[in-house]
Amino acid sequence: MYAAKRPLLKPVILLLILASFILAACSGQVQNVNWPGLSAEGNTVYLAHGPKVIAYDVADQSEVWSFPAERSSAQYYAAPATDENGVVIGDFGASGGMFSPKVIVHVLSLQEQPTTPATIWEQSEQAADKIVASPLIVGNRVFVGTADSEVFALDRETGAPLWDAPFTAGSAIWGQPAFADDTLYVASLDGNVYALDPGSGAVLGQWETSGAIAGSPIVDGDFIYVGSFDSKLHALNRQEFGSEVWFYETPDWVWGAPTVVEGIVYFGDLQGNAFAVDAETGSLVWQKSVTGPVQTSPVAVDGTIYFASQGDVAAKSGQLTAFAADGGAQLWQQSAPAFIYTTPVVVGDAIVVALQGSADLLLAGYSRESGAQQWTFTPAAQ
Amino acid sequence: MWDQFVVNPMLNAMLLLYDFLGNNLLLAIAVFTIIIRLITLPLNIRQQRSMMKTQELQPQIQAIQKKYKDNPQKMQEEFAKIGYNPADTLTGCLPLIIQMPILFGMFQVFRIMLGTTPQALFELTQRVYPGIDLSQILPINNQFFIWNLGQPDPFLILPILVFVTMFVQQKYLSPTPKKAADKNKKQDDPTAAMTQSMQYTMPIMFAFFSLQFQAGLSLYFIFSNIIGILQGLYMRQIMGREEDVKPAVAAVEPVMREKPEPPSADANGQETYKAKPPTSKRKRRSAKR
Repeated sequence: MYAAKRPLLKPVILLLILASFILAACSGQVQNVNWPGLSAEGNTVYLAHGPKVIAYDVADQSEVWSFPAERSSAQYYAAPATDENGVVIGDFGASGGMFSPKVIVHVLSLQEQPTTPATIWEQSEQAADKIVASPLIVGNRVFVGTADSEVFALDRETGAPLWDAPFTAGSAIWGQPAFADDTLYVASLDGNVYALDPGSGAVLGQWETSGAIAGSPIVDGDFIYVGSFDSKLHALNRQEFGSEVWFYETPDWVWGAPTVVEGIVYFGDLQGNAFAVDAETGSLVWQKSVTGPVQTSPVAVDGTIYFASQGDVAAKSGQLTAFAADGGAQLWQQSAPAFIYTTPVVVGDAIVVALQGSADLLLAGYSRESGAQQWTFTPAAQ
Repeated sequence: MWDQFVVNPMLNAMLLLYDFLGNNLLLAIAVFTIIIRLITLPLNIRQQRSMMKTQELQPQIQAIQKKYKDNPQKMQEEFAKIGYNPADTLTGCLPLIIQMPILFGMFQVFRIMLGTTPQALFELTQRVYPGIDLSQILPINNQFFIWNLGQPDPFLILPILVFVTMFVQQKYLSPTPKKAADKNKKQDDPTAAMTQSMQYTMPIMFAFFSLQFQAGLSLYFIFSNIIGILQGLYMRQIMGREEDVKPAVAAVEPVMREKPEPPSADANGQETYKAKPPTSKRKRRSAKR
């Protein structure tokens, strides 16, 4: 009777409810909003892939632990940082509840234990937005860059802030800071590289590029190397603030941090080019092509340079390519079962990649020698 | 398909506006909202007219519904005679239905544009049209006053503003009950009941969205609501002028407004209702025929 008198009321309300559910389903709280973070220590790889951080023993082919034990709304994508005391992770933040939308971002120190690690400390007062960059552990200090443009330092043992106030850049910090000769180097999406006093966070000086910097700054000798969205790799003079020694122009953005080995800088661009340039002069040594954009950093081991790229969009497969450091000859090329956006890590004779876009596979291991797929890892159903 | 025809054009339009307006995201959202409202304006005006027309015909509609409750076919015939088509009420919902893809699209646009994650930025690079130099636009400044437009508003100011502006907008876009007695009839008037229901459910629903999603999306809602309020005020003025003209016509040819007239038999012995006096628009159509 009610429906007959109000024929449109129910359909409209149903439509609105449906819309609410669809929008809620689109919410960042239930979907992966970034690609995984990956790091390695010994035979263990640490993977931050959304709701969980997993430690996986490559030698035993088994999951060592996962964190947190209970499912929560927090998401983890920054590569976990490790030292002899355990693991430091940062999250993307979680709101306090349905009617408390303030996002609370945590940095956690975990002590490794079987099954689930113990939380040593938890710091939620310093960061106001996502932690995308891997925290940097230097002795008894942890340096953390955040998406709200800040860098802060914490005591490694207690998690207490060490600086009076965080350092604030002009935009987000997505790359892990670098530390050399008692100076902290931080690259920001504002296009600057900052040199900070690690004791106080005070700015010592800075270098400017004409594009956003998403990767980490790489310090080597008298140079700081950064890739930039101005489609250049910049070599900055570490001894003189604001001074650039050379730059190498590329067809597209340089997203990932470069890798410097034996006087050669290796890096890729978003057009799928792999470059090797002379670290002193910036002159091209060799240039190759891979499939799909490269926003990862190259991995250099024993005279071989490994480039991970997004891969083939139509086939939804990532790609791993090995080049000889000397001359750039392609040694092998291997397709991965899903896209690769994360810098691979090396564990023993395997190169390990984190996969993005696969319904179940998270990790895959490939022979460094031949590129043959050795194993894959599917986490237990949660 | 969805991305190609909805999300990508909206995203690129936002990027262009952001670039043209001096990298001011607030201005870009405001101008973008105005453009979207202008595109949907004809539909919105049609919806408002349709609602007002249906309300005007309510006494006749109810009389027919009551009389022919057991004969739906006859009911439809009688509806046709007074110029009422129930499907028109569905057409009235069209702007709301069209707003939904725009809303979903806007949600995705803000997620990609203000996502503040590498993945969102990478997605942006894959969607941007040639000719837009993203490297000159980045990083997108998502700070406005106290808000990070890429995150939900922790101060709850924007969700409250969304609720208030949408409530006022719903008030202005709904037909005004003419007499106190009309309130008693709402129980039997589906349009009035629906309007009243929407007046509360929509603001609550959108305020709830604003609690969960980026503050940039809340600003879009607020701008859109303010434009809706202005549109409602304008339409009321127009309708008011039309209403002023009607009494003179109604004096010549009375219609059953307060009390339904009994049906009379036509030449074929079929019952008929006196049709509502034609509005000026109808008169023009009749003249054309």
